[in-house]
Amino acid sequence: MRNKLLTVVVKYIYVGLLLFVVGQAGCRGSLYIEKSTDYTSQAPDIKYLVSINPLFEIIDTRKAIDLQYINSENGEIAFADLLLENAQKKQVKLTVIDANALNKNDTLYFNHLAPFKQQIMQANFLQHISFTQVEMSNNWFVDNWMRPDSKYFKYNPSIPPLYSYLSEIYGTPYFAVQGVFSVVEAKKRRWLWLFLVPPIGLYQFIKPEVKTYFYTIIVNVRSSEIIYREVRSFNNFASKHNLNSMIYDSFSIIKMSR
Amino acid sequence: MDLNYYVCRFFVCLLVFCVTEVYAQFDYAYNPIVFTPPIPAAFLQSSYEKTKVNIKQELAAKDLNRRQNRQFYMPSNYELTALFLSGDIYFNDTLTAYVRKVAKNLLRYNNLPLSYADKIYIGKYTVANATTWRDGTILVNLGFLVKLESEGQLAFVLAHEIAHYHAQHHLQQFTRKYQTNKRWRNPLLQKTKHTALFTAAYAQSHELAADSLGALWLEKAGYEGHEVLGLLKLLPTIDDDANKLKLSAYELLQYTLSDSLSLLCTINDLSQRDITSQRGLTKPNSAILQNHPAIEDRIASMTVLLLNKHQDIILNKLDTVKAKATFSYATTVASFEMLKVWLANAQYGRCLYESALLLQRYPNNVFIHEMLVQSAYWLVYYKQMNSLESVLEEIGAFEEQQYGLFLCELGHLINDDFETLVLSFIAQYRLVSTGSKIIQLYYARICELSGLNRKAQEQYLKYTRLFPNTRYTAFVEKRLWYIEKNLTDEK
Repeated sequence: MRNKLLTVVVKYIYVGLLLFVVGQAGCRGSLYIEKSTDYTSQAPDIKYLVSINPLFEIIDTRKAIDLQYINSENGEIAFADLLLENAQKKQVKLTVIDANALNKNDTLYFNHLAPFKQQIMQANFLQHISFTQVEMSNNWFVDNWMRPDSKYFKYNPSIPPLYSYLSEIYGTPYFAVQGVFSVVEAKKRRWLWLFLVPPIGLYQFIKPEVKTYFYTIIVNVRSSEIIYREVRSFNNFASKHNLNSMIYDSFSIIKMSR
Repeated sequence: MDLNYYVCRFFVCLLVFCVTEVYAQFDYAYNPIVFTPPIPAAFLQSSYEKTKVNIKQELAAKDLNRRQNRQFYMPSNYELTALFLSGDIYFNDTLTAYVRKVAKNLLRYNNLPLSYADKIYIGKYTVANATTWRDGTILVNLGFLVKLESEGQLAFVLAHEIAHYHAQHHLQQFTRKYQTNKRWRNPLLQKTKHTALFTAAYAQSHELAADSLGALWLEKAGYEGHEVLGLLKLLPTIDDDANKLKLSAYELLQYTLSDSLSLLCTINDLSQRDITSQRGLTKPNSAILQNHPAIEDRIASMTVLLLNKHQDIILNKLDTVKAKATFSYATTVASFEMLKVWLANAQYGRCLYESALLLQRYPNNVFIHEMLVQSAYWLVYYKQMNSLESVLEEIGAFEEQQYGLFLCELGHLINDDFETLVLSFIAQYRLVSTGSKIIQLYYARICELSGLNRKAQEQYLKYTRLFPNTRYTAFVEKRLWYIEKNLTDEK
């Protein structure tokens, strides 16, 4: 009887350890969404969205300071393509304004779109709460029971009305600022993994510490207000496969009227 | 004889007219700089393309191999591309044209390639600084331009930056850093610290070399040598507020409470106390870690150089009157542009202050009125958002300056019934600048923000009547719809 109990305990310790290692090795993340109270009525109208110069930035802190950003420019085109593909899947017409593909006479970008993007980021940062202050959770209980109002803006962040006429130029009042930001760091205490769980820990030993953020801010230029913003994070590389599912989910939520 | 006399008189009259026209053009309005096509090629190239071009042109040293060349140019080009696409760098505008003209003059008399001037740009940054990039691009900040006192000082700034590029200081620093990294490869030897120390010490000698070369070029181009000393003496105080007049936030916003006088005395006491209690926290770093040498050393080195100047320098005869006029025009344009930058950077307290200062020179300028109105509105808005501290600067950083006092007064005003105060302030400017769309719009907005929905509706309707089909029309229609909805809900 005693031996049987010991066998079961040992067996479960192994299973527990295995689950812990798998859990640590897997992709963890968080999601935070905030929207205006009248978003439910606006969401079905978001059929056409203009994304202003999506940002794709990878900082590899393992490299010398000068060379940390170098991979970023390659990823920008792939990111824009992913946005277009997923928007199409959710029946959203998306126009990506790519600053790297401007023509010689395209001064509209410099006169209006670039300062407009700057104003959106500033309003998002300065008004109400900013992404950096957001306590991100992926907990249904916390979101729905402890702070049910946290999904809605107390006041809609406002931007100067200077850009409301853009709705006539592009034929839509909805403009988005989207981006991916990823930081790659050398893993701390990685030798510990190798000694604790040698075969599985090898993966943890080799893999660096990665934190990737994806964000979307949607503005209605007619009312000059931010109506929706989301930030997601996950502990993995900003690869095409990792981003694809995330962007798809993001567009699904944007189109959701609840 | 008579004909010559009349022709001369005609040209004198024309000159007087042109000069007065230049200065009078800011009296009533200012048209902000707009980006016009064609966009320069540097703005449209990716960092890869830029690097490719740089390496092809063999701008880097021949000592470096292809990989090292790429490492040298790529990071700098990546940052430059981001800057160019941020919309913060001017192109095809009067300011850039003027600065390039000064640079070309400098280059011409020193037999240097005129193409150096084509890479000079003005950036919408408030920090008083100018930078040289590895590919020879020079960025002069708007905040530096407005602080300079003469064209000679501007020419020295440009000469100094060009000297850095011409003498390949970046490349020398890169090579040195590369070698240092190799030597101190062992992480236990605190690689970064050693590299920082090596590079900083090296950069200081480069600054002195650029000063000497710049001063030499400056004199050859016909500018006075004392401009160098003037600028170097100006540098330590360049970030300070040059305004010596007391500018009261109360007077500006026309505070009309009966006890305003007694309150003003209290505030003055309070502001002095606040300022002295919040003294600067930052201490200067160790001299060896700074990449620029001490100003005293730079002044001493320049004084020696100017005393021993070569007699065979060929001086260009400058038209000083014309130079003064064009410099004054450029700095005035820069001052107006700076207001836009403060506003765009959400530094509303600063925008209010700088606008009020410029208002003393141009009391009837509608652009300044609009800046005042917008910054006052956004201060009220941020007060209501409970995030005013994020847009108002720390008073402690401006101790014993007029701006610090102004901020202090403003802070105390904001604690009172600020909405009502700004409402009457904007209402006054609406009466002065009747033709301004922005002031009419912001008057309606402040009414809405103060909860006066009926009045706001009235003012939005007035806007649509006065200014049909403007760039704000879509916004006004939407606001009218919201107000209508709110009023129906109230009923």
